[in-house]
Amino acid sequence: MSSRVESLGLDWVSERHLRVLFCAESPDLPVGRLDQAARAIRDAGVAGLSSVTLAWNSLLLEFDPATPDEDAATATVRAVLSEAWASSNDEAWRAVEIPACFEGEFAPDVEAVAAYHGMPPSSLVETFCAALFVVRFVGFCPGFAYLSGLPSALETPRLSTPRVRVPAGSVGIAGDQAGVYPLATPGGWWLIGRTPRVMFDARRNPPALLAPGDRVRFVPIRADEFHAFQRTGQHV
Amino acid sequence: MSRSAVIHVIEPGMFTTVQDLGRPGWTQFGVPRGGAADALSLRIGNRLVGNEDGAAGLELTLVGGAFEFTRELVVALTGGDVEARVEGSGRQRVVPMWAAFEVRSGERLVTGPVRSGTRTYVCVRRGVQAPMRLGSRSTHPAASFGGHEGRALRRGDALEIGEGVRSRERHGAAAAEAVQVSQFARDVLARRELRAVGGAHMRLFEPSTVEAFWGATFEVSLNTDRTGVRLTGRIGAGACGGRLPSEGMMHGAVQVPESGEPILLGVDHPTTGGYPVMACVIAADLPVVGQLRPRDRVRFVQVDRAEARVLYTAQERRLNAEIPS
Repeated sequence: MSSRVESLGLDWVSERHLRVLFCAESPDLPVGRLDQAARAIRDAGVAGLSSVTLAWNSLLLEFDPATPDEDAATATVRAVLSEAWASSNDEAWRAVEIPACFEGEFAPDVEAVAAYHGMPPSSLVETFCAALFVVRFVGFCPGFAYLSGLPSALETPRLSTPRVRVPAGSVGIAGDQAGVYPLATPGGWWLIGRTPRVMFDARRNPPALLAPGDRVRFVPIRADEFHAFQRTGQHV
Repeated sequence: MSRSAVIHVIEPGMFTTVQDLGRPGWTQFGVPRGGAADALSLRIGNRLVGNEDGAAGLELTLVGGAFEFTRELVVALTGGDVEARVEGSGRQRVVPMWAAFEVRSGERLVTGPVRSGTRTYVCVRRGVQAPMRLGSRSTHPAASFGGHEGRALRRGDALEIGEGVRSRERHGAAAAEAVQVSQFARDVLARRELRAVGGAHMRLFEPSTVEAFWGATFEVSLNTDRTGVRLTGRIGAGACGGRLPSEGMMHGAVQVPESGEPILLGVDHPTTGGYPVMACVIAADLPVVGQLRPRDRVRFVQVDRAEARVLYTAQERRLNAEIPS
């Protein structure tokens, strides 16, 4: 995978938002480096900057709406990012195991998805749990981690009719993505399992269990282990 | 019931939450800034009762509520227009909006439904107390954290007051000032021609779609909450196919999905999203987004970024002149 950034596209997309697009040969830049660039901007003490949102290959920087000088802010951001990118690497990452139950009530769609791919449910779970996922970013709602790395054999078009309520902890797949619903929300992804781990807790710091760059593996557990984990807060 | 509780919820209204000015700087965890949907009204309410701008107050939605106080307190009502009265032992009086007033121990504040706009703020001297979560006392109802137990208030809830005091309250002699600030705030919140800058993906739409957008009058649908405001009156989907790789999203963004019916993002907006952004409401008009009411008709008027900053700075100057912080 090429990690060369061809150009940094900096555009003011409102009077208070500067968007940074990392334009590269590869559509998937190493997320560890993107995250380090985002952190460098957050830590640089740029005047008037209040938040930095990382997504696939972009950052959205929010400034105080009174920030007067676009050119000066753009130049500062470009300088910080260029330096941060040059010294960044994708070598260190955190491995996170997420226990999940892929059976019964915890996996309402596992049979339908398996049937769609013409495989038994056990092979679907085996293939899913063999995959090493990468957290690209945390967004949409509090604690929702976008995971890349879904095996192509499991790519599935999203549900035609979204569910009104998806239970918190549901492990979902849609298209070539996977994710864990941190909160009970409406959702259009296929639900193939559920984790007892708490994905988001505002009393923790950081509040989200997963962070950009994390390597995630799902570990299958039985329903009784799921309940035991919920009681004790740990994998037994 | 807490020993030091000061505000007792007799009638919570339809959807009443504790809100301050929100939590900037947590979007990398998927957490939007949140806070008062109409931050201007909360700030004015706080200034009227002598609080710092960021003290927490109560945000009522469309339906009125009733609150009983168990100690003397200075209170102000701002935001969407309500009829309000204070009921005590044998006496009852009408209280104004946009002005501080005193309540005695045992008295109740009772408000009618919100008649214009959507959200009314109850600000109390010292602010409403709630645990700090990610740097704010604001309720994020969808994620069930912040504010009072992470949820909208219920009958029987009891709230304490905080330490958000900053200066003297403004009532009595300062009544004339209140009239001034009320006119200023009402003018801001009555805007239904929202000033906006061209959005991040405006150029990806067909020119005819862009033209249709800036010329269109939209109606605010019933599908409206702190997350966003759905608008009806379609303008045709964009040439970009209506879906892009997710990017960071912002309060005030006007997304146009495949249906061609825009979604105007509110304070509790998704932090990232894949619908193309046609426009972004300028900072000066963001308080209005929190006051849009189902069936309101709105238009978007394009301004450039330099103009947007001038309009914001001028509005802040006017606010500080009417009612200094």
